[in-house]
Amino acid sequence: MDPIEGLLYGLSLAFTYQNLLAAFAGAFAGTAIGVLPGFGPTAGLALLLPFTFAMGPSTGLIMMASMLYGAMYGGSTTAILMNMPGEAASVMTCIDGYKLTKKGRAGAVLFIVAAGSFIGGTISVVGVMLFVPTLAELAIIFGPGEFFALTAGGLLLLSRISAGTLAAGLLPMAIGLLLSTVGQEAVSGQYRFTFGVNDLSQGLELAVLAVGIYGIAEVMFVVESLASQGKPMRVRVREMLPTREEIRRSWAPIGRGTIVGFLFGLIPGPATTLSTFTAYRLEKAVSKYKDEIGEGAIEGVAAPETANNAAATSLMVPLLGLGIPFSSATALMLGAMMVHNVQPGPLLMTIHPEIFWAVIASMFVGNIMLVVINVPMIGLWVNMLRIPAYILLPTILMMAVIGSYSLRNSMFDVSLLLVLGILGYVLRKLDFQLAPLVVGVVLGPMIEKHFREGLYMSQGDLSVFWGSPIAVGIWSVVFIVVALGLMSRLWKRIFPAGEGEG
Amino acid sequence: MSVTRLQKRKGYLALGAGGLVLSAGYLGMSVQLPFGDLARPGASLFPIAVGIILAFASLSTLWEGWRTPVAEQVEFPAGADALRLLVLVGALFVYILALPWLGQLVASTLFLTMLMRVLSDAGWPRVIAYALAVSCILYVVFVRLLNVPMPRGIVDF
Repeated sequence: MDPIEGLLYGLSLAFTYQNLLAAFAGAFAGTAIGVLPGFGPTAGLALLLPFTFAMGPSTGLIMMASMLYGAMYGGSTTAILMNMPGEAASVMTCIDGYKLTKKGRAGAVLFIVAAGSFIGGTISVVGVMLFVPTLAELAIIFGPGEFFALTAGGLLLLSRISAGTLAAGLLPMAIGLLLSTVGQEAVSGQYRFTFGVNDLSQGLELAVLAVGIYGIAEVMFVVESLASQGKPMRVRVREMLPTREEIRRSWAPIGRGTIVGFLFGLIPGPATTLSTFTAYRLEKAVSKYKDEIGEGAIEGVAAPETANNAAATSLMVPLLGLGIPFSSATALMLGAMMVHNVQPGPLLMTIHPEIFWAVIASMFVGNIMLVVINVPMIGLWVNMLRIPAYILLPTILMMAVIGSYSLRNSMFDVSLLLVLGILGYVLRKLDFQLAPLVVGVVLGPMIEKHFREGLYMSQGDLSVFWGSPIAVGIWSVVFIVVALGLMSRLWKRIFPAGEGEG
Repeated sequence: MSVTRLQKRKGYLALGAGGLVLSAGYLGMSVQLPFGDLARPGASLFPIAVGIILAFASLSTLWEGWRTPVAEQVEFPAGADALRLLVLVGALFVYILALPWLGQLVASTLFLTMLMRVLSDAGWPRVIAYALAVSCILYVVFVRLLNVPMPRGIVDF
């Protein structure tokens, strides 16, 4: 099936009422989650995950993908109106967005952000559509050695690129891998680390882990700073039309943001956040109006907001093409696929073309939903910020409990929520990264599988993991990134900033 | 927000030490699993590797904690902010304990009432009304419409 045929097939599937409803509900819930200060897209996806298990695999994935775009867009609303990023990927938006709001341009900025998100997301889907089949064809020749290098190396890269010190990424990654070994082991059926607890025999439930470590921990963060949260400005629909000058100045940043975002989604790491920083820096370097950026320029909002939506879309390339999640959001999507016995990766297009193309087509639909939901309904989102936290937060907690219980009807899982929430809170307070933990839990069983398969096939010859040119290439990239990170730290320690100048 | 500051290095040292103890226990249990050999690896090989990675990560956490300046601090909530957080954790703990006995509807209403009261200045009548409304809506949507089999408890709703 060529891409055009595939897309048409996908559109015919996406335009069923269940899938359209799922795209709408996902984009709506995502925007709501993104709008709420403090709640990131991963926490939102985690809260939604248990409820998607009752749907078909395509419908569930469509809902999750739409939610991710929605959260990316929604995060910008609080950043622009309240100078408070709804999630990490909107931090850069605050700088110019809020200054433009103070100049009375909030409505126009929100419109440009919606347009940029739509364009970035849509172009990025075309990239995904063209890139995934090529990647999948390449991945078919991969053996266990190459897949081991890709999964283990990718996880290591993620733990290093996720910002912070070596330990800040490595310790959560190790905890994630440890948690992934709990339960019945796949090859020999051996039970490991279950301590006789029946609920642990099938391992930890990914959704419970994600809801606890992201969702509950985020509620705790919001609760502790409850008194310091402000109120948003009012925005009317008629104030949303940008001027011709603002539109003219936005095209180039939107184009550059799309390219930056798409490329960042292909590599392990917090792509949506890093892409916004890079897109902003790029505008500061190349824009005709670079002197105005930082003082309330439309370029400073259009580029990063386009980039994060483009990255949120291209995150799907490694997931759909290789079956490997390079972020916590796609790790959750992989979890949802596995619940439905769908194995993403090189064979997904062949075995489940209906899922692959429905998800691709729904990305187009999801991007349109985003504009439909956001531009005319801006008043609703602003009003949502006025819902008292004392109603919202307990309701979110209740939904987290119901969602976690519904997975296996297990009170043990519900108890784990609290423990994991406290763990997530403490780790975040100390600036440890949570993404390597969640991705570690998902990739752990894959790494073990490829590791053991490789040893079986090579009769115990360890060189199988670095013997092929592809494996050498992957490990070289991992080595260079890790070494560069360590060397830059060493450099800073030997030559602290300022001493070398003058 | 009122805050209390704790040395970041102490947090790192505590986490590193905890990780090291965890890795020792985990490795101790891992070696008791069937090892096989390199050509036919058993269930213990991967956990042993993970245990070693955890030990290394814990040592690097200890090392970074050791190197972190005393002046570098982490802010935790204090006063009323800390109280809100503690009540949240406590209420969630009690709710989880009470859920199987009281059932979804009753336990949720009590939990919501307690939490809403602590998180707001609203009076009891309003808080009880909101709590009842939210728990009833969630009950109807999830238990009745979506058939999530939440614990029914002594009230048997």
